[in-house]
Amino acid sequence: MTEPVLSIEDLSVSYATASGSVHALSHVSLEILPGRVTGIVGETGCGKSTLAHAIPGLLPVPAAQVRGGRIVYRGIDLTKLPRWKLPMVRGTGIGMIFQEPLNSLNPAFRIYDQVAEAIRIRRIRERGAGATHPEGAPFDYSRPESPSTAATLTRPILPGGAVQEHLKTRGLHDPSMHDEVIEALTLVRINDPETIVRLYPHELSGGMRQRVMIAQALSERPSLLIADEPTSALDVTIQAQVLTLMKELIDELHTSILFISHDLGVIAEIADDVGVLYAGRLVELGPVAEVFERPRHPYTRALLHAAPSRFKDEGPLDSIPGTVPNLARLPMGCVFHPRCAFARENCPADPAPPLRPIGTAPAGEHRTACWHAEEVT
Amino acid sequence: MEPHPPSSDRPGVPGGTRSGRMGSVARGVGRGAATAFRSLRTNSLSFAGFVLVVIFSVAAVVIWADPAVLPYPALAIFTGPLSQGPTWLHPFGTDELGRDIFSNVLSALPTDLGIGVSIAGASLLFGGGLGILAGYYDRPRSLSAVASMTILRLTDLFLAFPSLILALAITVALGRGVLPIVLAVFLTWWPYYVRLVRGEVLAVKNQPYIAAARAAGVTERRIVLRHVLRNILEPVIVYFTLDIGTVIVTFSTVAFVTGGVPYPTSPPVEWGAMIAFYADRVNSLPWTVIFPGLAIFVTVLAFSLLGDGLRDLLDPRSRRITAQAGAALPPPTGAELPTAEAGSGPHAGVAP
Amino acid sequence: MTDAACEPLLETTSIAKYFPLPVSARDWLGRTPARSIHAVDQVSLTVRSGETLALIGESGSGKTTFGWLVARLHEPTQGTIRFRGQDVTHLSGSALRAWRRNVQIVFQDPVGSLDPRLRVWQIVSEPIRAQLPLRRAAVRERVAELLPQVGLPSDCLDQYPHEFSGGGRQRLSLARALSINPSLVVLDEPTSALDVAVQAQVLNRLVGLQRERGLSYLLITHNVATVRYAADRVAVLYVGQLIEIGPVRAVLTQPVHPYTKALLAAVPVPDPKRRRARYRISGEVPTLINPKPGCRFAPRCPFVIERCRVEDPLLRPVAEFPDRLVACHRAEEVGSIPPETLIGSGPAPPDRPPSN
Repeated sequence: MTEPVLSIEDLSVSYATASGSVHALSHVSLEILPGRVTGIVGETGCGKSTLAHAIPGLLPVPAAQVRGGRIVYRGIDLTKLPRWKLPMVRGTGIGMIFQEPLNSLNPAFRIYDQVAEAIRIRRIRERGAGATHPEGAPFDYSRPESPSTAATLTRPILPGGAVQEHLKTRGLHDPSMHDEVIEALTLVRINDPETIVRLYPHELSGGMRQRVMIAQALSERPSLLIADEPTSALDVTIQAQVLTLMKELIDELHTSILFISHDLGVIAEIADDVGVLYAGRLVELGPVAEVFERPRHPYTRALLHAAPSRFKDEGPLDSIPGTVPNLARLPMGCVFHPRCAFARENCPADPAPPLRPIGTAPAGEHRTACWHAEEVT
Repeated sequence: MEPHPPSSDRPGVPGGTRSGRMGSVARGVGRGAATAFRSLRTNSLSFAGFVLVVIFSVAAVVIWADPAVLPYPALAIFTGPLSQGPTWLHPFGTDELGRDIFSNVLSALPTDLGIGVSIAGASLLFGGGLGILAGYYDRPRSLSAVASMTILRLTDLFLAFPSLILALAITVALGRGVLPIVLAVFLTWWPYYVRLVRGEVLAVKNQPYIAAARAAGVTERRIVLRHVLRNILEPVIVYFTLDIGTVIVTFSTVAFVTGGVPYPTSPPVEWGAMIAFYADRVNSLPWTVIFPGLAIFVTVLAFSLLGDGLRDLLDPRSRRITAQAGAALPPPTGAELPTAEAGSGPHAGVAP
Repeated sequence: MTDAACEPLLETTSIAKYFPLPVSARDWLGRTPARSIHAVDQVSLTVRSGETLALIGESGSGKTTFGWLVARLHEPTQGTIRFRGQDVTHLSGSALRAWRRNVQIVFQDPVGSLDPRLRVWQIVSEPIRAQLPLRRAAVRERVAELLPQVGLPSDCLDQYPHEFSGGGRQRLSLARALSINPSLVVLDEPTSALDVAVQAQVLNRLVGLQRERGLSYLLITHNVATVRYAADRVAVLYVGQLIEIGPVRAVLTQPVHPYTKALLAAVPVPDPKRRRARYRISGEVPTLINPKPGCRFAPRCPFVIERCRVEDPLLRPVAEFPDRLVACHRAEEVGSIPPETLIGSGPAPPDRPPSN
C-alpha cells in the first residue's frame, strides 16, 4: 500500500530526574500515512508532547534520552541524525505548530519577518534540491518518495556556489518575497494581510497568531506537520474557525498531519486515525470512527464516557477512579490495570500487553493493547 | 500508585519517604533544622559556605568575648622577629614593628562580621519596611499612595548618587572612627532594599492567593504578615546573605580610602584599615597585605556560597524534581511527587 | 426544586466594572477623553438559593470580573449587589470581612491561588481562622473532617500544595471555600485546568456537595459540557454583556441568541459521525475599550440587520421561550433556527471586513 511519510518504530524516551528514570514514552509504534491526519489523544503527562518533540529532535537533551526505537522519515532514522543536521529536518520536511503561538513567534519581529524567514528556509532547501535535479523539477512536498530528499537533508545549509544567491534572498525588499508572504497569509484566510504583515505578534489576537503560525509552518511546504495542541489556547468559537481552516487546508494541500490534543472532540473533528496514549504507551490505535464508536481498550472507553455529555438530573458522570500513575514508578504489567474495570488477575502478572489487531476494520487497522479487549464493548 | 501508599515510613502521612519525612519532622513547627541541614549538604559548595560562615561566626563570638584566645594581643608590637614571613609561630608573618598579622586579622573578625551583619541588617529592616509600605499600599488617590510615592522618590534621590562616593563624602563629613563609616555605608545602603522588597511585594501581591486570602476575610495587615512577607522572604534573605559580603568589602574600601579606622594606633582592628596601612609595604612585606585581603575574600565567598544554598533551601517548591515545564519538557504530572489524590468519593468508578 | 429555590440569594442590578486605561502623553496632549475597558457592562441577574447559575462566555466576556464583583474583590463602577435582600455593594472594613463568610470563591488558577509556602491545613483553614476564634487543634480537626468531603485523604494536613496534582489542588481550593459553610460559592473555571477524567471526578463532587449542603453555585466557565452537567440555569455573556439567560436544558437545546447558537455550534463533539463540515462564524471578538453602540455580536452575526449596528438590544423576554431573557432585536425571527445551520456544509461565508 502507500508508504508512510513517517514511521515511528518501538520508540522509547525517558527523562533523567532526581528520583530516577521517568519513562515518558515506552515502545510506541506509529505510522503516519501521506495525506492523512493522525490524531494523538491523552491526558496531561501521557507523553504526547514528548512524542511531538521527539520527532524533529527537539527533546531537551541530555535530560531526555531516546532509549530505543527509530523514527524513520523518508528512509532516514532521525534519532541517528547528528544534531547539526536536524535544522534541515525541522521546518523543511517537518513543520511544527505549537499550543501558545505568542511564545512560539519571536516577539521582536514583525509578522512579515516571521513568515519570510520560513519562506527563506524553504528557498534555500529548494535550491539544494534543484542542484540534484538537473531538469530543475520543483520540490514537490506532496510526493513522499522524492529521491533527493535524503541527500537534501544531509546536505550542508549552503550548497556550493549558492552563497551569492542566498545573500540576495536575504534582502528585505525582495518583491517576490513580499508577494509570497502575502500569499501565505491569504492562504490562512487572513483579511488585509498588507496591514497584518507590519504588526508584531502581541498586537494580534490568539486566533490570528495561530493563523500566522500555520501560515509560517505551511509556507515551508512541509510534508509532515506536527501540531501540538494547536487550538487548546483558543476560545471555542475561534477554535472552530481555526479547525475549519485547517480542514480546508488539508483538503487543498494534502499535507500529512500529526495532530496532538487532549480534547477528544477536536480529535474526532479533524483526525482520520487516532492513537490513544496512556502513561507513555500507545494503548489503542485505529481509524477515528472505529476507535470512537467501538473503543476496544478500557481506557479509551472510560475516557469517552468521562466527557460530560448529560444534564445534572440524569445521574453522575462516569469517571476513572484513581490518578494517572507516576511515570517513575509504573505499575507492573498493563499500566492501566489499577484503574481498569475489566482488570483480571493476569493483568498485573503478565508483561504489558502489545498492540494487537481487533474488531471488524480491514486488515488489522484497529489495534488495541489489552488482554481482554474482546470483553470491552 | 495507590491513593494511599501504605508503605510510607510513618503511618498517617501520605506519600513516599521524601514528603513523609518532611511532613512529620516538621509537624507544625516549620521544617526541622535536621532537614535543613540535610538539604544543605546535598550541595557541597553551599555546604562549604555554610561551614565557613559557622566557623567565622563562632570564632568572632569567641574572640569578642575573650580577646585572650588570640596567640598575641592585637596591635601589640615586638611579639616576635620583625618583618618576618609566615612561620609556625606567626602563620601570617609579622610587620616591621613585630606585630603578629595573624592575631590582628583574627581580632578584626568580630568587627568586620559585626559591621557587615549590622549594616545589612539595619538596611534590611529600614529599607525593607519602607519597601513593603511602598509596594503594598499604593491604592490610587489615598494617603498611603502619597506616602509610597514619597518613599520611592527619596529612594531614587539616594540611588542617583554613586553609592561609594556618597559614602566617602558622608564619612569625611562625619569625621574619623568606625561609627561614622557604619552610618555612611548604611545611609547609602538602605535604598537598595526598598527597591528589592518593593519589587518582590509587587510580584507577590497580584498573585491569586492574595485575592483568595482577601476573599476569605483575612485582614490586610494579616495578609501582609502572613502571605506577602512569607513569600518575599526567600529572595530577600538570599540577597541579604550575599549582601553581607558586599557590605564588608564596601566598609573596608571606605576605611581604606578615608583612613577612618586608626590602625594600628588604637582598636578596633579592621581589614580594610590594615590593608591601607600596609599598602606601601606590598613589595617588601607582601604577607601583611595578602592575609587581610584573603580574609575579606574568604568571608565574602563564604556568604555568597551560603546565599546560593539558601535559595534552594528556602523554597518548598525547589524540592520538585522536574524543572520548570519548558517548551519541550513533559508536563510535570509524570514526575510529580506523591500525589495525595484519592478516588472521587461516592461517584467514583467506571460504570460497567 | 423546593420553594426555597425560588428565593433570590444574590441579585445584581445593572452592575458594571470599567477599568480605566492609563492616559498616555499623546492622549493628554490630544485631549482624548479617558478610555476604559468595559469588562462588565450593565449585568443584572439573580442567583437563587440552592441552584447553580452558570455564567458562560469566552475570554474577554467579563465572566471572571463578574465573579470577582460578586465576591466583592473588585469595586463595581456602578450598579448594586444585594445579598438576601441586603445591599452589600458598599460594605467595607470589618462588616465586609464578616459578610465574606457568605460568599466564597474557588479561583481559576489552582496553582497560583494556593500560597506555596503554607501547608494544607493552613490553606484550607484560612477562612475559618479569619472568621472564627478557634484554637489550632480545633482548626486542624475541622480541616481533617473537611478534606474527605472533597475527596482528599484527611492525613495530608501537613503537605504543601506543590505535592498535589492539578485535581488535588482544585480540591484544596474547594475545601478552602467550603470550610466556612458559605451559602454561595463562586466557581471560576473549576475544571478547565484538569484532564477530562479528573474533570468528571471534580464535577461529580461539586454536584454531590451541593445536594448535601444545599449550596448555591455561580459557575463561571467557557466549557459548554461543564455547564450542561452542573448548571440549573445558564447566563451567556459576550463582551461584558448578558445576552441570554434561561434554564440550562432549554438554552442548550434551543438557543435563541445568535451568539449562543454560534457558541454551541463551535463545541467539538467526540463523535466522528457528527463531524462538522464548516464553521460559518468568522471574525474576531471585538475590543472592550469604549465599545461602540449597537449589538456587540453584530460584526460576526450571520443574521445581522442594519438596526443591530446602531441600536443596543435590550434584555427582554421572548414570547415563544418561557423563562428566557434574550438581548437580540431579531429574537422572534431567529429563535427557532437550530445552531447546526451555522455549521452547514455549504461554502463558508466570505470573511467580513473587520468592523470599521
